[in-house]
Amino acid sequence: MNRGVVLSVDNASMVVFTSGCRLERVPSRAGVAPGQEIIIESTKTSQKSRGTVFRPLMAFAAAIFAIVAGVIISQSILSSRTYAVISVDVNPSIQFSLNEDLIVTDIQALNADAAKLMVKEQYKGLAWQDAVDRWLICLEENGYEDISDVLISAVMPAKDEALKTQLTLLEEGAEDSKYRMHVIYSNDGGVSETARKNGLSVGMQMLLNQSAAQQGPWTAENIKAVPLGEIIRILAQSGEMDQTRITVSHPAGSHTSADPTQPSTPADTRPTADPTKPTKPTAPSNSHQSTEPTETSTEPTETFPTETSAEPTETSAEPTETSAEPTDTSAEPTTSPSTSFSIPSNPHGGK
Amino acid sequence: MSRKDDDVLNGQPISEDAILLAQSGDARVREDVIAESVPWIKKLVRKHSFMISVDNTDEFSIALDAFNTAIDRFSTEKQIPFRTYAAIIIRNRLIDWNRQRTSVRREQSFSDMDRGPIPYEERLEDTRSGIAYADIESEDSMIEVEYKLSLFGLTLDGLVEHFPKQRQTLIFCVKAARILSDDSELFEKTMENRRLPVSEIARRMDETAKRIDKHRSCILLLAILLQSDLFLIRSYVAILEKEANL
Repeated sequence: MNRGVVLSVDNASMVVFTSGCRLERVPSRAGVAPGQEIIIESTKTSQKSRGTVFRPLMAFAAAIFAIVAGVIISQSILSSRTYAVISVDVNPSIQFSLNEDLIVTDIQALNADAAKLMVKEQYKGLAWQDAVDRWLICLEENGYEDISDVLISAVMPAKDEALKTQLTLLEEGAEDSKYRMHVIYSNDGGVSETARKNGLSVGMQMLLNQSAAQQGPWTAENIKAVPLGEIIRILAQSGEMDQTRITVSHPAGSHTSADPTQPSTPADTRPTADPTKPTKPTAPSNSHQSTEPTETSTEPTETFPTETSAEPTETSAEPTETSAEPTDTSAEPTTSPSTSFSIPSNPHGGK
Repeated sequence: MSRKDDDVLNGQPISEDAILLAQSGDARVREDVIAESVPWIKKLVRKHSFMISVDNTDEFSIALDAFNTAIDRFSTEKQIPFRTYAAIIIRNRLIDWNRQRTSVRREQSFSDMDRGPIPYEERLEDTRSGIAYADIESEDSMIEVEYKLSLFGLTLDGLVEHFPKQRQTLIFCVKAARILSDDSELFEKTMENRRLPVSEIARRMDETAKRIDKHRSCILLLAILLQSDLFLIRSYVAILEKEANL
């Protein structure tokens, strides 16, 4: 508490000579005249009394602001979080990141040609099918008229049904178009990570994984140079376009088991289907032949590439065991082909 | 405000005798002094209230009342021109009126408004007013301080910004002001010449004239305050001197 003598008074302030012999300007008060000694609230006291009023208000306002900001930010993060990745391999290749609503949130050009043609803003916010369409139209308009094979690959959570269904429908719908649509997908999130490390699209990484599983000759480096159609025919389709979809989710003994190149386990039965966990090579849950890994690992080369189709039952029975000991033919098959690669079945019985 | 402008009544300067006559009870002289000062009073009211027409306003009534008070309280001993003295009294009353009106608007209920202005004695007894001590006479002392400062072209408002904040500087200024105020002859000479005897003070303090000149306005204010009747302020300074062993 400080005292002072009022020297002059104005409408808004007073000049006071304080007991500490200082001249200060303080807020004016009613009923105070020059020459009077008054009690001056020190600055700290004034701030304190102001603080007792304003502090709870400020705290309340800050809390409200924090809550609102938190909700907005979390909504923003949730909506922009990458839920699935879709790559469109035509060479030029492009990769879309999708949110939970399957809307394109980000685009990545996977080679120089794609980078030249891609304008991110034209694709962001589109449904992924529209984005793929726009990309193919863009390619046509820029001289890529002789495109025949289009590999559409997706990495999505195991629980996803919507994207899986849409992919199937896309492939079915493309039967009458001039493109040969090849659709593959994986529920292993590790695929996109490995693909990013190798500088490949997720689709090419799946094919590379399969190549490694089959002791194929391709690595992350040389697979880029191989024509897309050829890779697909050899790895994904065993040379037949109609067998693009190698249904791994079907139980053993179904028609898919006849496909010699089918390497993987049914996606819906795999314990490590969670895309957040890179999976380890595991035996197929439906494969009773998988109990003896050493038998297959001793004869990996017999299964690749054309011979596999000749002996379908031998190779398809134990695909994962071959990947358990990846050979040096693969650059970085960090994820097991059996878990990271799966060709979608057609749950709607398309073909 | 020059004496020539201030003290003119009926074309003739207002003599201190006329004011003294009015103080002694000559109602006619008082009325003459007031009547002839009305245009000047209106000008003051317009200046403080920012109104063009001030006739029949509360402010004009208050100003007239303050002018009348100034006639009663004027003293020739202070050597302050009457109109300077009256002008400060009017200004203080108008400011006080304005603040009261604002305060009433802000704090009082409608029922309180019927009571009119709170009497001065009541205000002093009100603990919420924050007034520790009040001396009606000290207003005159303050007017004298303000007038003396104006002789040097200084105002209290302007001095607030340049008053020393550091204790050591403040003690230095108090020491210089004490030398000036204790020597009546030197102080009178200062008031007469309207110049601070920087070199003389510097010599007596064994300090540089530059340092004295730097704190010229502060030293002047403190010296004027020490020479005034404001005993509270003088006691504040005395306490500081005691603390600083001056």
